[in-house]
Formats: sequence, C-alpha cells, structure tokens
Amino acid sequence: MKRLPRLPLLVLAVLATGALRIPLESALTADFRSRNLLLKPLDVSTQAKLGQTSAAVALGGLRTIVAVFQNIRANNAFQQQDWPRVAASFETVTTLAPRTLYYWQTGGWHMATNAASFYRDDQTLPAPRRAELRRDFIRQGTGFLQRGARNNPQSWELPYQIALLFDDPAKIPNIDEAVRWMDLAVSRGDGVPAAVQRQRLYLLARHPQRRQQALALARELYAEPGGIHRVSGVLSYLFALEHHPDVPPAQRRTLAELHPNSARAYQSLSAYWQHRHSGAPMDGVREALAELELSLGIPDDQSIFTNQP
Amino acid sequence: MSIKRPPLFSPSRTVVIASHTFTQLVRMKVFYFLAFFAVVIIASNFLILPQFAPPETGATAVTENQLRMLKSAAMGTMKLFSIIFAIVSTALLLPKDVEDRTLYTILAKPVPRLDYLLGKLLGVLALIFVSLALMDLLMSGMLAVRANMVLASQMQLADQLGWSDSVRESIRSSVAMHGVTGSLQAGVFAIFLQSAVVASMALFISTFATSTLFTTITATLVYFIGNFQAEARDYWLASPDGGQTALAHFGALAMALVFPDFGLFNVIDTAIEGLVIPFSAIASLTGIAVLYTAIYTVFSWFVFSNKEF
Repeated sequence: MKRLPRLPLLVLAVLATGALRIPLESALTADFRSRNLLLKPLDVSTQAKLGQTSAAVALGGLRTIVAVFQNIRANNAFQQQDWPRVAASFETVTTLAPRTLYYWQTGGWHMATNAASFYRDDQTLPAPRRAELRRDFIRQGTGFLQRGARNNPQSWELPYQIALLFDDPAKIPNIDEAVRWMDLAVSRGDGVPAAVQRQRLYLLARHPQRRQQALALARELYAEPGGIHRVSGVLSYLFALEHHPDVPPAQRRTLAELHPNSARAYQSLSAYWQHRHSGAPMDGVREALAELELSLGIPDDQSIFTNQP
Repeated sequence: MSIKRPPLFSPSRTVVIASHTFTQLVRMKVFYFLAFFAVVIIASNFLILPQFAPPETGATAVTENQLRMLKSAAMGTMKLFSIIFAIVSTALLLPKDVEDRTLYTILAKPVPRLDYLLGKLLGVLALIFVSLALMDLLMSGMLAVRANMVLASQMQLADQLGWSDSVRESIRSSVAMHGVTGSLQAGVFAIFLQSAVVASMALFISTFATSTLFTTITATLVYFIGNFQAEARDYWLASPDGGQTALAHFGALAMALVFPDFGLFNVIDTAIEGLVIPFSAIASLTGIAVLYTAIYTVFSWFVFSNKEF
C-alpha cells in the first residue's frame, strides 16, 4: 500500500489543531482579561517610545520589568527637573503597568504639584508663560490621575488624590469636583481608611449646598461604634454644623457632651478656628471659644482672637 | 516464531531516559546560572534607588515599590533563564545524541521513538523545574527578609508618630500583599508551564531542523510571535469577512493557526503587581499547557518516527 506523504499531513495536522485551539485560547484570553489577569496589548506608539530593546523585552512578556526601568528613568528626569520627560516617562510606565497605583499616584503628583510649582517659581520665564505652564501641568496631572482612576475601578486612592487636588487652593480649586471625587473614593469598597471618610465630611461641610448632608454624615461618624471617628476635627465640624441657625437648639450637642473637659474643648475648637478662611462652617464657634476663654481664665494676650494669624 | 514488539509507550523506559537527560544537562554545568541569579537577587536587595511618592500615599508606597522591584528582577531573571534554557537545551539534545552516537545505541534497542522523545522532554522539564524551585526558594527567602525589614521600619515609624491601629493594619496588609504570597508561587508555576510549552515546541522544531542554530533561532522567533498571537487572532475574529485586506486577514488567520498563544502565560505580571491569581486561572493555564505540550510531542513523534539516521 502506498504511504501517505508526511509533510502535507503534518501541515494539515498543524492547521487542524490550530483550528481546535483558537476557540479555547480566545475564550481563555477573554476570561483572563475580564478578570484583570492579563494586560491590554501594547499599542504601536508605546512600542515606539520604548525603543527596540525595551519593546522586545516587553513583547516577550516582561512588561512589569520594563515598567520598573522606565520608572527609574522617570525618577532621573524628575531629579533633573525635566518635566516634559517626566510626564512622557510616566505615560509609558502606566501603559506598561496600568494596574500599579504607585505609578499613577507618583506621575500625577509630579505633574500637578512638582512641575506646576517649578513653573510657578521659574523666574526665567515671563509671568503669563509661567502661569500658563503651571495651569497646563496641573491639568495634565489631574487628567493623568483621572485616567488612572478609570483604569483601576477598585481603587479609592486615585479618586482621593484627585479630590485633594481639586480641594487645594494652590492648584485650580473646584469644590464640586473635589466632593464628586471624594464621594467616589469613599464608595469604592470596605478598605477605605477612616481618615478618608472624615476627609469627606470636611469637604462636604465646606460645600455650600451639601451642609445638610455633611451634618448627617458628622452625626453618623460620631455615632460609629468604638468612637473611632471622635477626633478633634469631626467634633469641631459637628459642633459648628449643629449650631447652624436652621438646626433646632434641642438637637444641638453641647461642648460638654462632645469633649471630656473644657481644656480639650478649647484646644480642639481653637485649632478649628484657624481654618475659618477655608470655608469651614463657623456657626457658634466664636461664641463658644469666648466662653471657654472666660471659664478657663485665659488672659487677653494669650487669647485666640488676639493672636489671630 | 513471532517477534514480540515492544509496547508503544513504556513509562519506566521514559523515566530512565529522562533521568539520563537530566544528568547529561547537569553535567553541562547549568546550575552555575544559579550563582548569577543569587548575585542578581542579592544586588537588587541592596540596591536602593531613590524613590519618590506623593505625601498622601504615605511611606508604604515607596517601600512597596522596592519590594515590587525585587520581585520584578527575580521573576524576570527566572523567566529569561527558563525560556532560554528550554530552547537551547532542547535544541542541543538531539544533535548531541547524534554526535555522541548515543542515539544509535538507544534506537538499536527495542526503544520506541516516542519513549525517547518523551524521556528527553521530561529530562529538560525536570531540570527547569528544579532550577525554578531553587530560584523561587532564593527569591522567597530574600523577599521575606526584605518584607520583614520594611514592616519593622514602618511599625517603628508608626510608634514614633502614633499612627492608629487601622493605619498599622493597612500597612501590614499592604506589605503582606507585596511579600511572599500564593500568587507569587502561582506566577513561578506559570513560568514553568510556559517553559514546558516552549521546550516541547523546540523539540518539534529540532526533529526536522538541520542544525542547533536553526532550532534556537526559529524557536526564539516562534516564542516572540506567540506573545502577540492573541492580537492576530483577535484581529481575525473581529473581521471574519476579510477586514482591511485579504492578505492581512489570511496572514492573521495563519498566525493564529500555527503559533501557540504564549501571551496567556503573562499572568506573572499580576503576581509582580501584588494582585491575586485565582486557582481556577492556574488550573486553566495548566490545562492549556498540557494540551500544547501534547500536541507538539505528537507532532515531534510523527516526524521523528520516520527519520533515518
């Protein structure tokens, strides 16, 4: 009997097994991508930015290692204050390792804070150009962090950092955006630290249209079992929010209820008083401080009102 | 009198050939590589590059990144070693047995060619497994030491600054996430699975290759192409009616049919980033790796069974 030719048989076998493999591989890739176990393929522009060797290493399945080296490169650019290179390097780093929050956080911070401050103080540039570059880098950093937050929908850290940027008077403050991002941060899972939840209260209390919500949150935090939120800031905000004219006096807590003694109440409220220009509610605070100074016998020259910054 | 034919496959014979292959490879002083690996790991443990992070991320972000760098360097070296070793050693084995005339001695005996090929492959895989296990031991040991150092310094800082229990707990869990975890071990196992597929693919190439160099170069190219086979497959699946051009369409199909999807094994990035690799994902990877290895072994046998020496 004539034997079948082996090469065509082999080629047929390779193709046939390939056809059987494809649905399996395709389903597994889709499953791994949906479970965030595999990264999206690198686009052509990133490969071009990486250079041939790094791109080859990244394509060979070692993307996180290339990201580590690109991060070192970005740090070098930061130390040389080469801000456009810092921004470009972090764009590449986060394309290579989009799930590593550290890269998004550090990149956003370099752009929105360090680069922006550098250009604000750069006397070699004319004032309008300095202002323009400062604004550009704040926007670039904020946009970068927002992309990071979209790429990492489980992270509270990135929305929190964005909220702090929008809340920073030295940046481009926007209380609406700050509250929106802080709400998002707090809504992302059970791992959100207690301090972030308190930060949300401080923001809401400063938002003119959200004070009712802030009061409800302050009461909720105060009532939390174990008293983990009964820190100076929460107690002061709660006191001020409850002393708003719209809140019936019967529903207000007194300083004696909030603090163990007058000295602690004075310490807490006088620290809070320092923030009176930040938009924090100050209802009843001045009066309470005056009463405390009287009862504690604080001399006029040491009064918080005499030593106003 | 009829001649008794040897069974098609004998596990004991395969194990004998595998152990001989293992010894043969050990005599090539392959384990010297471990010394190099140890140097890389120890050096990366002591090499503390300047790291920066935004103040709101706390000190943990920097320390986490140092642990990530250590893992990246170790896992990258492990992957590089196992892939190079899988290709080169498999490419060397058949020509070396021909050159030493060992092959003639073996095949002159009633040893089926399938036993011989399987024995060779298992010998290579055993060596890769032992090497990876040793490297894993070294990496895990070093990482555990480093993670403990990081945790101790963070806790000292927490004591000095009076950080709350919730902050301490978040530091502990964050350091633990970047220390020695089950996911990290799963990542090392994924490297082994990928090496097994690469070795079986190189064995197949070596059955029809004209030289060791040809096998090495071709297998390396197949490995690189296999890392973006998924993109070709997705392109073809997304445009079943031809896409942009018929050539591109059929080129993508041919690539998906012929090359294995090595990109599936890049879940190691997940382990380096401190995220969880579920057991089900490792089970799926094992399944597909066994399938690939079986396919390439059958192909190797198909070619080798008819080869004349």
